[in-house]
Amino acid sequence: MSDILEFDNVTYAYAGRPPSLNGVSFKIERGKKLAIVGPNGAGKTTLLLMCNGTLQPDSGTVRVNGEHIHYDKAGLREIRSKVGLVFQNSDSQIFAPSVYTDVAFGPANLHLDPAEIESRVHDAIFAVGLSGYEKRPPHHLSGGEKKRVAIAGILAMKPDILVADEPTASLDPATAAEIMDLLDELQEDGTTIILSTHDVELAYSWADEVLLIAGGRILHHGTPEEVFTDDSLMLKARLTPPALLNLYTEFVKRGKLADAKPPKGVPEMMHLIEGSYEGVTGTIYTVDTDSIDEDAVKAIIAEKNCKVGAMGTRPKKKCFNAGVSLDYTYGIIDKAMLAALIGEDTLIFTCGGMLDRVKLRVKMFEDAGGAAIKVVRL
Amino acid sequence: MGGGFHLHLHKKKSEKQSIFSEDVLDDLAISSPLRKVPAAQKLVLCIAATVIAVLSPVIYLPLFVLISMIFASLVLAKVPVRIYLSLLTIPLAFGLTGAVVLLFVTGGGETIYDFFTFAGFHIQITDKSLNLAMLVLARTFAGMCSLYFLTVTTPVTSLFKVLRDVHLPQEFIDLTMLIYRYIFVFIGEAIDIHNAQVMRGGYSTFKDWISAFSMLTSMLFIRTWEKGEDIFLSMNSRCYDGVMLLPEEDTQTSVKYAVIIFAYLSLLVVILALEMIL
Repeated sequence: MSDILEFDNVTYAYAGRPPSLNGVSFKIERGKKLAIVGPNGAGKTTLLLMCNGTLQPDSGTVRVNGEHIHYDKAGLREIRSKVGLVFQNSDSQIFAPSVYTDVAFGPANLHLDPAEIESRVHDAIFAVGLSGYEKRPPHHLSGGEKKRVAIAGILAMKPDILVADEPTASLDPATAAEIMDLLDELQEDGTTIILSTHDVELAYSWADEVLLIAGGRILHHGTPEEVFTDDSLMLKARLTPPALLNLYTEFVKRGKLADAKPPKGVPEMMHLIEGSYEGVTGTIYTVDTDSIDEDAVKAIIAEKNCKVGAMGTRPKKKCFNAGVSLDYTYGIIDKAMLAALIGEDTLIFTCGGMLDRVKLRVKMFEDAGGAAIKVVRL
Repeated sequence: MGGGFHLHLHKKKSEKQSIFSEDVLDDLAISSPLRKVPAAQKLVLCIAATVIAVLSPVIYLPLFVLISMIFASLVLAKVPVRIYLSLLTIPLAFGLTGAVVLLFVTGGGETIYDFFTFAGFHIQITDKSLNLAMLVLARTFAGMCSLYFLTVTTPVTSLFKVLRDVHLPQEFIDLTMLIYRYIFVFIGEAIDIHNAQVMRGGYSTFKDWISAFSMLTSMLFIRTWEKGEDIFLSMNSRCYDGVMLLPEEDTQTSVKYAVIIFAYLSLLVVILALEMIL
């Protein structure tokens, strides 16, 4: 895989201030999920503004797709069509008088033809689950809806990299989880995702890689497990480890658990505590909603008579249209696995690449020594 | 489906609306049953009715416009009476003040009531001053009610197209759109700052009031400046190259409304002509 974004010894200081970034170098591969984690004032936002050329490094270089950013008008337009930036404050980002015109802003300024603009805008609004909201003025939207519009505005430009500054800040937990699911869905479609956060729980469970920064320097770049199990790193970066890892390390210290791999999620933790289950009786049924209609959705639910979840925007919409009430709308796979371990079945409506994600997650659980959970595709 | 599907994100709206909630006029316009009437037609109606009412030399035509506009707003556009009345109280205060001044400072004709004489000046109401005061009041309200009719039936977003159709410069329209969008952001900011001040004892005495209010305005100025820079950054991040789309409106292209409006305006002109002749 190729490196889609590369920082090489980047230094930057705002006028009259100590450096915000001090020799930052890292690379990220195409299609990865990177979380930039660090305390307030660590330089997270500065780093993100470097990604689309808004800030120019004092020294060092930023490369996108292996090419240097050219800081002239044409070069910046080029970069900004490839790197989409979602601001922390949606009110700063959404400036047009209606949802449609705001999402259309980017494509229109790329001078695409009207039909292309229209199809991109409809796709983007649909992807974030706001179909029917096109004519709404932004001040009639909730915080979560504004964030979705902000993301749609970037999606409509079809960037290679989506950069989001604190995407879940000031959202309620369920909305935050849904936004993260949405980002997963985009990543599934091939977009590289970079986000900044100081929410360690989120970074731990979501990211492929974590870039830990403090005081404008990179403290560590590695897997979430490496970063969050290192107490001295946590201390330096003014962070607390995720509750799950905290619990795990305390168990290990007391000799209650063999020093295994740190648990990725609650299912692994339960496995570590309880040991392996003898007979796992629960099954996870997955359904590809792209190949069935709404009546079939209802028929399957009636047949299986178990807890139902949907993952992804299209499946959720199909379930909504079928008048189905969902038991799970976010964090579904882990919940389904936990249910399977205590002998309950779960039905997951999803589509495309996310079907494989269910299998991958279950496989990951098995590889960590967990029980084999049956995943049946209907 | 039309807005049904939205992943459990509901914006809770309080049941009771008052004119002091920041976006009540916008809400009314967006949910108005007359929203689909083309904005240009409503704009023509509003402006023409106002001009004709102001041209009238006697009180009858403004009264007719006033009553028909109130009827249109309350019955056709289904605006709640309580909100409409509270909207009217704002111009009422100004209108009455002006009318009272006219009542005493103009003269001529028969004296109706003489209050007192002060240093040779008669403080009195004459039939001409009464007529003039009534006429001005009626014209004011005819204009206000026409404007309110436009306000409660036409979302601002649908007026942007009209601005373009009358060939206003694109820059002007873009600015109008940005200003419209950020009015609501800054009302929110102002309310937040005001709440923060009240919570910590601001506005308790007159002196406090002056200093707290000056703080609020200067802070708001700084916030608007910062927000302006943020918008600029955000527009550039999305490759701004001088293009802003205008919101689409699904108005009905029916001649029905045009005919009704034309008939109404013709009626007004006929009444005006009769008033002028008689």
